[in-house]
Amino acid sequence: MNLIFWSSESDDDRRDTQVGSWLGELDPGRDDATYWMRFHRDVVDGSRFELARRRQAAELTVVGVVSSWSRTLVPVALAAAAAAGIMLAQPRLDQVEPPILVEDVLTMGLGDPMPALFVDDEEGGLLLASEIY
Amino acid sequence: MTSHQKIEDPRFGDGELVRRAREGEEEAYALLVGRYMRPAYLVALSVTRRHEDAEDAAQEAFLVALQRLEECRDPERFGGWLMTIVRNRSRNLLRRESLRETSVLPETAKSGEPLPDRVTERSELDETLQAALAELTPVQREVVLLHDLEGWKHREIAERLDLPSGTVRSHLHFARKALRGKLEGVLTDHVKG
Repeated sequence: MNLIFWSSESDDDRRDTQVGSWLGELDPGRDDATYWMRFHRDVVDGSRFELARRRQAAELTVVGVVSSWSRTLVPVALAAAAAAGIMLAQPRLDQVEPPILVEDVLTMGLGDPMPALFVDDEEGGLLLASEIY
Repeated sequence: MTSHQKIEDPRFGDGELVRRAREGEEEAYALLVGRYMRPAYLVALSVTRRHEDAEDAAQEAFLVALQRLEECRDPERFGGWLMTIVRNRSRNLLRRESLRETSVLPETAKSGEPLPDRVTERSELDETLQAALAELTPVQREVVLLHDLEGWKHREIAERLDLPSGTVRSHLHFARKALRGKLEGVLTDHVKG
């Protein structure tokens, strides 16, 4: 394919009126005065849904985002405060008795009276409990 | 294409209109449609070479462009970006049609009769013009239609079709030459009449 290249912007940039008039036969608006108006209307009508979606999206500006967040945050904060209040009103977990130490277990009951390991027999003597059984 | 009511406002550049259309402003989008509906139709016609297909492809392209407006990285060059969408939609449409025609072939076509949707009352003038345009490549058709029918300058075509300016001139030269060769003497009288 032969190609001719032009390097200058000063070449003729005018329309070729004869070729233009031939090609004008392809213009659907040539014999139908309302064609392009209908074309335009059809395209714009067909885009209404998308345009409306874009308008809605555009309304979510910074202020919109903040206010929408606050609408969510306020009830959540209130619920959190209520829960915290309920928890504070209940007895505190750190007030339980301290754990029993090993030393306490070993010395526990040392000051108490001796258990009845001995019983008096009929003659007034002492018998070890083990001797009874 | 002078018979339609002009829907244009030269005060606003493409960049501003695109930014406003992104916000969903109908007036801005309507101005973009008014500005590019005829070039979009002509580019689609260059690919499909049928009025109905060109109309469908161009209209679809406008909706697709609106849906993908964020992908237009340079809003000032909306025209070129839109033409790419038009070209792609036109090719897709042709591909879909060719698949449909080969997979579901009506009885009339099998018997050699013309398809109902092909039966159009086309004037001798129109047929001659279509035959002459069929000799051109799609890009030559685009260039000559946009320059000699729509009135775009070399620079605008180069920018919007993403072609070097010299290549635009070259395509225009050969397209005109081919059309003159086919149509001179045949169409001149018709068009004058």
